[in-house]
Amino acid sequence: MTYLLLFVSITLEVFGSTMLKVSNGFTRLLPVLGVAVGYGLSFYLVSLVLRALPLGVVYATWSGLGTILTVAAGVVFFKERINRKGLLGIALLIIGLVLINLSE
Amino acid sequence: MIKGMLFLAFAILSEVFGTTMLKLSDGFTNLWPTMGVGIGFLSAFLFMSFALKTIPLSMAYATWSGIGTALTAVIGMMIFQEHADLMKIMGLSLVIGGIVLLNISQEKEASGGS
Repeated sequence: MTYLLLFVSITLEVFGSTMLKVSNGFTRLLPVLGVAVGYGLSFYLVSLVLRALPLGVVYATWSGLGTILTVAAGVVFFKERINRKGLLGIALLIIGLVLINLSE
Repeated sequence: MIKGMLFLAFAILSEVFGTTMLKLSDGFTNLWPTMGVGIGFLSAFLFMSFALKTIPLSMAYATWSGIGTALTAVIGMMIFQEHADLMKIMGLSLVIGGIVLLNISQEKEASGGS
């Protein structure tokens, strides 16, 4: 359950940062609202997750998985490309995240 | 550039402060830490926007999340007595390396490609 909350909060954060890009420097109303709602809800959910899981683990998972999803969003929605170095980075991240979360 | 690095350092410290307050806020039920979350993250974004005037985004973001992850883990172990074993430290190192690599790869792609 805690991990589900963590995953939803990461997804909301990626949604928020994608809206940040779409908002075009805070000049478009709906994306700006998306930024506020996305980040607001995301932080609230993380504060709930932190009641049950250690800070170091939550932060590493949040920023690691967040980075992977942000890159994926760039590839899917903004036609950005990913090179070999990027794929290696994703592989390291996944192994690292599994190790950290298994160590708990 | 030096000024940008200084702003980036302040941004990272503010964010780590905000994250620590997030833990202490206990689900936004403690007033002072909850305000600390707001102040920490707002100043982090503010300092970051100053830093980005001289430092490229992916470089700034790689440094931010790499150092942020390391500092937060250290704070967790020192202040909140979270356990540290070899597996966790190896995992953290891989995550930090992965984040930095992934962000730097985006920079190369953005400047070299379309």
